[in-house]
Amino acid sequence: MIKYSINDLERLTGIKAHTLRIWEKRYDIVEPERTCTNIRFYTDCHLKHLLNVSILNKHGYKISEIARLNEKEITDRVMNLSMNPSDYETQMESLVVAMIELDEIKFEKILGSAILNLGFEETLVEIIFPFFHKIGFLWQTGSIVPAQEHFISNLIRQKLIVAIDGIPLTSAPQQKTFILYLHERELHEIGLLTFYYLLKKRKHKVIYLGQSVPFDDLVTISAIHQPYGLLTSFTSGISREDLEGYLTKLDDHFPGIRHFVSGLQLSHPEILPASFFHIRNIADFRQELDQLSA
Amino acid sequence: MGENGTYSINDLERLTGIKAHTLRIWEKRYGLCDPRRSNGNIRRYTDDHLRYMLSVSILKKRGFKISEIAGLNQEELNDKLSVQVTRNQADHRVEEMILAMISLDEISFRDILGAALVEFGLEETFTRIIQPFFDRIAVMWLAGSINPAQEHFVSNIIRQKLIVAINNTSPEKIENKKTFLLFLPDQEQHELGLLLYTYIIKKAGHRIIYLGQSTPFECVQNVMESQKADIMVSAITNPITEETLQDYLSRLITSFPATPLLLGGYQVWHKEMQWLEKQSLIYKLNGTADLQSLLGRLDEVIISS
Repeated sequence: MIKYSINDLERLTGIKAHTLRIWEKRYDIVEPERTCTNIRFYTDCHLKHLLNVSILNKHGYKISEIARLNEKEITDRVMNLSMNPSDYETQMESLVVAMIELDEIKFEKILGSAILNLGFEETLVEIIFPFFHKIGFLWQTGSIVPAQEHFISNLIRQKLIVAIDGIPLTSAPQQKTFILYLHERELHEIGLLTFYYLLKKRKHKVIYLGQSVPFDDLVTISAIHQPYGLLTSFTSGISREDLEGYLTKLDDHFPGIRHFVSGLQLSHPEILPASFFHIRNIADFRQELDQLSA
Repeated sequence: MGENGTYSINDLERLTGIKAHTLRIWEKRYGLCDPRRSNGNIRRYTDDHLRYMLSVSILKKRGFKISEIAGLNQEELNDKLSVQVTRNQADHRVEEMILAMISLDEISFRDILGAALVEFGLEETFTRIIQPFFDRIAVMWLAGSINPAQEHFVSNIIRQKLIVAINNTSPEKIENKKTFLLFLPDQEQHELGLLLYTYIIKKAGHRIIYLGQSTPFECVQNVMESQKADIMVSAITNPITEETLQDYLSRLITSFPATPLLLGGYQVWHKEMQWLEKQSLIYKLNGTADLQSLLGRLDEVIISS
């Protein structure tokens, strides 16, 4: 069983620990279990319930009102809210619930309706990418377990790959060639796939090498295919030293090729060589691509 | 690798399947293949030599005598080979895929794969084309004649096709729906086999919890506790000693003594492990046919555990 502390719950639901204690006391909104030393802990069931409560609360339901609803009434209301295409926040939170329940059908439902309403690219920009960012954060704080992260990453990967596959390849002259890769100890592909989608949609040629690519191979392949840009992302923990070393190597080995870099690990962008393009967010990247095509 | 790459006689043995001893005899007796010599007078073969000997090996398997083959010029050799090719469409596809891979030609690679999928369907394409293709590139990789990035490139395209198939499959409506938990052990990243299993299981109408690559043991534990999966499915491709494999599997079956484990992957196919054969909870998946047959008698599989 997965146990959550009251602080985990605060991070996951956005409800302050203080408020949680009050709700618990005043409305019996949840009844956490206690460790032998009398410390509150919460289970998946509690977490799901509180995520839903938090969504309703943010939408103007009074807590006294929510306390009177049964579980089914609560989930029905949340499901209705999460179908509102312009309410990104709620859709993201519902995805968190789907993740915790390992519920693929719920995931499909929420994302499916978002894609229908917004189109894939906007869903990617407004919901999937921020959602993933949130997960990265929750994972770092230990608030979700790796199993949930694996589960949801694989589903998101699936949706991204299906979207990429859906863009026809043409042999017509393409814009520019990009090689997409991750360094040898990097497995987190969601960012890279997102950029793949955006590039392919704008008719650029993408050579997708994906996870853990040895540096020497990258050199060989770049020499043969002379790409316009090399694009990568740093998500897994890497020491600042190693990261700097790797970036310097990149700067040295690919004369005339532009580097695009992104990822959580670039929290000190000052270490980036001046010529590198730092993708801080999708908007950045889209703007840059617009300029390239202009 | 490439033009300047030279192969030793042992590389050639691995790549062509012709014994080094035989190669030396053919060289002496028929002048077949004339390798260069290194300073230390050791035979070195070029890419051209390799291609030639691969052709020789194919014709030899088709029953040509070596004296006959030695008398053919390049054109005659190609003619004889193309007969071989039309006889075996699947082999032909494998060759074409290797060419597309080496030039990182995505459009050709997709065309070939797409045509195969139409002709054979997903499962047959795997057993008849993709599996032999990976066997071939494994050998080429050993000999240093391709680089891992080229393998990454094609694996990603194949993965894409599999994931699209998984996404688009419409599960059969069945009454006896089970929950399958699919994962690879920590540090294991070869996912294509597991994705193929996912496709087959999902299509048969069951619920899938897919955790994928490099799943820590604790993750499996978490899910087993909260979701009560009926069956676990995994695959092992990375080199692993029998001891480590046995430790890992023992840990799984002692932790979840009521849950059968279906196990595939290169390491499982190629190991003769008596211990493994004796485990009543572990079912070896030697191919997709094994999986299909297990899905057909799930009640028996689950009860017997």
